[in-house]
Amino acid sequence: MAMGESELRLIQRALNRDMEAWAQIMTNYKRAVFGIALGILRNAADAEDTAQEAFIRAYEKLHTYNIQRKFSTWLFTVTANLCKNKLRRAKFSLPLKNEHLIEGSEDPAALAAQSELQKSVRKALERLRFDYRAPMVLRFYADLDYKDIAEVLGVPEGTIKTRLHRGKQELKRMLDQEGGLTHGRQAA
Amino acid sequence: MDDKQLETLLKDSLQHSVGAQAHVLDGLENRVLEKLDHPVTETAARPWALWFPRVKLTFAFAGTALAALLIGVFIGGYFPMPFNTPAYQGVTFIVAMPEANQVAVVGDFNGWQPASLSRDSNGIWSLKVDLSPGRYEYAFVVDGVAWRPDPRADEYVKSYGFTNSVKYVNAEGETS
Repeated sequence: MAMGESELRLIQRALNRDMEAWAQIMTNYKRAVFGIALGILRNAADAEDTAQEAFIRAYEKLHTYNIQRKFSTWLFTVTANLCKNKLRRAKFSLPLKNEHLIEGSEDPAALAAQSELQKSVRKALERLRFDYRAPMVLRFYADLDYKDIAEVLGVPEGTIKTRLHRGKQELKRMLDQEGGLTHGRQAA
Repeated sequence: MDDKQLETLLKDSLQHSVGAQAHVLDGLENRVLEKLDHPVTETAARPWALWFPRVKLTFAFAGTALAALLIGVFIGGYFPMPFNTPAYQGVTFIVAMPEANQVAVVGDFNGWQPASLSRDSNGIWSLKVDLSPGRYEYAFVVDGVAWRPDPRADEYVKSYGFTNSVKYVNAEGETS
């Protein structure tokens, strides 16, 4: 089991309504939770909302957490489910907050430091469908193994492997296409 | 580009995106703790977004109910029996919100479509609705945006991250 003793103690304290302990857990995980939500939802405002909601939901459901499981996997499952619901609701109602805000909200220096290739990869990833994008984010941002990704997304491990493989193929195809377009523009 | 290169690029790109926007996480702990201190006064930024799945659910239930009714009528044709139509009773939704400009009630009894409450001179808002006996989930929508539970509700349930109120109506039209 990957959980450190100190984390288990924090969880036990949080279960006893010790809010300082819960704040410490949030500090430890907020970047990971936000990163997953950002990768899936594709904008910072919605990702921050979702991170907040995930920590609220997780605190309220903490008594259902089984300490035999990795806490991070459980927390990421809560996060992924919230993202899924948010995307589903967005289909029926207002679109998620404007995607052009993604770049507007970034630190300009950090943005400039990003290579063109990284930008292209990010944009291609944003265009992938949820089924491919979510496993990619969990694998390459949160560093989860196939088994944990399967647990978080509630699908068999084999399906995750297939989706990651197909997702990568799709990304390569999009990047190739974009490369072709760029050359075309340059030539023109 | 091979898989390894793509994976490295993906990692760098995702890490970079998060790093560039991590400033939005400043103070997140306090924002969450504040909300946890007041779990039944959440504000719905986009309450309307909630209604679509609910409306869909309502249609699903309505479809099931209609099918049940048709089966009942069909069977009833062969086995006539008295049909108990539920009596509709007036139930008053009432809430004190002197500061509000507009208060509506939305619930499973009206397909989550807002029905406006009337305000008296003391800032008490009320609306009488005919309901048959049963259990109803609902919420007040204040000034078109804020999703508020009813302080007089029989119980509360969490749904999609929001708190809905629950009212039980008995055969006399009174809530329990």
